[in-house]
Amino acid sequence: MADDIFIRKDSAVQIGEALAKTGQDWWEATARWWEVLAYDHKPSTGVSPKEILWRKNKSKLYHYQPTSDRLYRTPVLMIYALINKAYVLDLTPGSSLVEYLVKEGYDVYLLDWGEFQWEDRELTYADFVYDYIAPAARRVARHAGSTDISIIGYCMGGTMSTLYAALFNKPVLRNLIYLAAPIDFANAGAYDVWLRAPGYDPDRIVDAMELIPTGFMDWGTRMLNPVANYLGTYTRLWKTIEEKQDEHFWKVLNKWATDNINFPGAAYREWLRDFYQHNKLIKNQITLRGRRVQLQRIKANLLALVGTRDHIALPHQTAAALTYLGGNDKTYLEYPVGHGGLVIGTMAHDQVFPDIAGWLADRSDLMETD
Amino acid sequence: MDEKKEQPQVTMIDPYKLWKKLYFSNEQVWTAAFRDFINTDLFANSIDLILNTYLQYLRFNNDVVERITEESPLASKRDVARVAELVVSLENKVDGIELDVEEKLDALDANVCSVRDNPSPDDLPGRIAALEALMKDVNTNLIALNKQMQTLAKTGRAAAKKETPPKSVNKKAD
Repeated sequence: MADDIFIRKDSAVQIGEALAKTGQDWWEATARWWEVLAYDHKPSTGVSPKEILWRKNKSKLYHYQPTSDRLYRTPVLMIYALINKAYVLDLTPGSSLVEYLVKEGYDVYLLDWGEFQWEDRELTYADFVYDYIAPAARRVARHAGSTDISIIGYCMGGTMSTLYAALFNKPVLRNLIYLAAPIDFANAGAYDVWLRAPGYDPDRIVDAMELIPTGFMDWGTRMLNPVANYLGTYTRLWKTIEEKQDEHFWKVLNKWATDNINFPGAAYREWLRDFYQHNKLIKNQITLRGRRVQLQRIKANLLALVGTRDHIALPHQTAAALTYLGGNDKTYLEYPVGHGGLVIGTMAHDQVFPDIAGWLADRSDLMETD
Repeated sequence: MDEKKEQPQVTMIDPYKLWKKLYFSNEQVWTAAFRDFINTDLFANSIDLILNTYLQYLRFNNDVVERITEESPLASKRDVARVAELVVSLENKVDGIELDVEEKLDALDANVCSVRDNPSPDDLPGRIAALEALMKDVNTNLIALNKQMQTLAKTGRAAAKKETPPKSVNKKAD
């Protein structure tokens, strides 16, 4: 490795030529780097063929068109977080959880929250669960012709799925899959230090902002790893170009990472105060529209997937589901990736997606054949 | 001699590779150092100080803007949001009704299909046969009743004839 930085040639002239060539390559790589940042169009994302099954306010319930024979009667509903956009689950062909599951013969649905605006600032978790997730689940079951469903919740979407699962029993929630979903909010890494600091008051933030703007949400996420997010992401692009690797994946990932949405203020207040600061979920102290969320009531089969390098939802935060949820069939799998690595990249495609599909296959009803 | 020829004659440090290696190694170190720093109370308290100062400014700014827009003849952000909230609320109601109607129709369809596809093989024909037998009984009884009525009517007419002489005979006697 040490001699990587040496250049060996037969003559000084050849060394000069090699250096000139590298210089030229660097110049071209830098020019291309600038071009990608400044001019290149954003790549297409979320392109798996789909229909809008239902829409409400800004949210849409997508039903993905089958590309192969449907093998399983139990449909799969994906629920995403209120931060960034849901198309990370259908990022780009070849790197899409949706595409993978559809190819494996599942009937796949995705609840996309859309982009919240000023009129949505009062939306709470009760509203999301009762008015969006519950009707979406009913519609999915009805459309799929099934009495039970499976839910995949990514990040905060997993936490929201938990709220739903504890309160609703129709359609029957047969399988619940967490992808880096926080359930226990104690010892939450950097968030733990920030959100429990004496000067941090979510009420003050929400009173002043009402609708939490994209920039503020983006800042909160990026500051968890400031050098990597503010600088490393661009130097990584340069390195990708200089080493003549495919830059498409960087572009789709960067598009998603910078494609933030506003956060409803009322939900933000609950998320930070009730979940992070008081850790009410595992204490069964969350009450939505008068009904208490009791985790032991969730009897669905559970699959908890975590990234060991995740600094947003730490592994133990998701693993807590195995302790607090009520079912008997619980599986926990770890992968050496970060928060996004469970749905983006080679590890996701080669290991995580097949693990999800295989686990679901053992716990989903097959289609009846004539 | 041949082996000597294959060995490169001149070796020097490649400044490009050196710089690249140094930079990316350094970036990793900075990443780790900054991640450690953001986990400290010093950092958390510092950003809270900045945040709270900004929030004070924001509230002051919001109050001023709100007072101005209240007096303005143009619709404010709040006014537009209020209308949007009404629309969303209406959508919510329609959506609830739609779902209820759809589910009731589904239930109705299911019942109809259930009767059509699964007539109870033991029960239904038996009940139909019982009904048919009942109807036969009713029919037989009705026929018998009808006959009795006719007989009674005939008997009644005959008795009346015997008791009352014909009017023409009476007239002749007068």
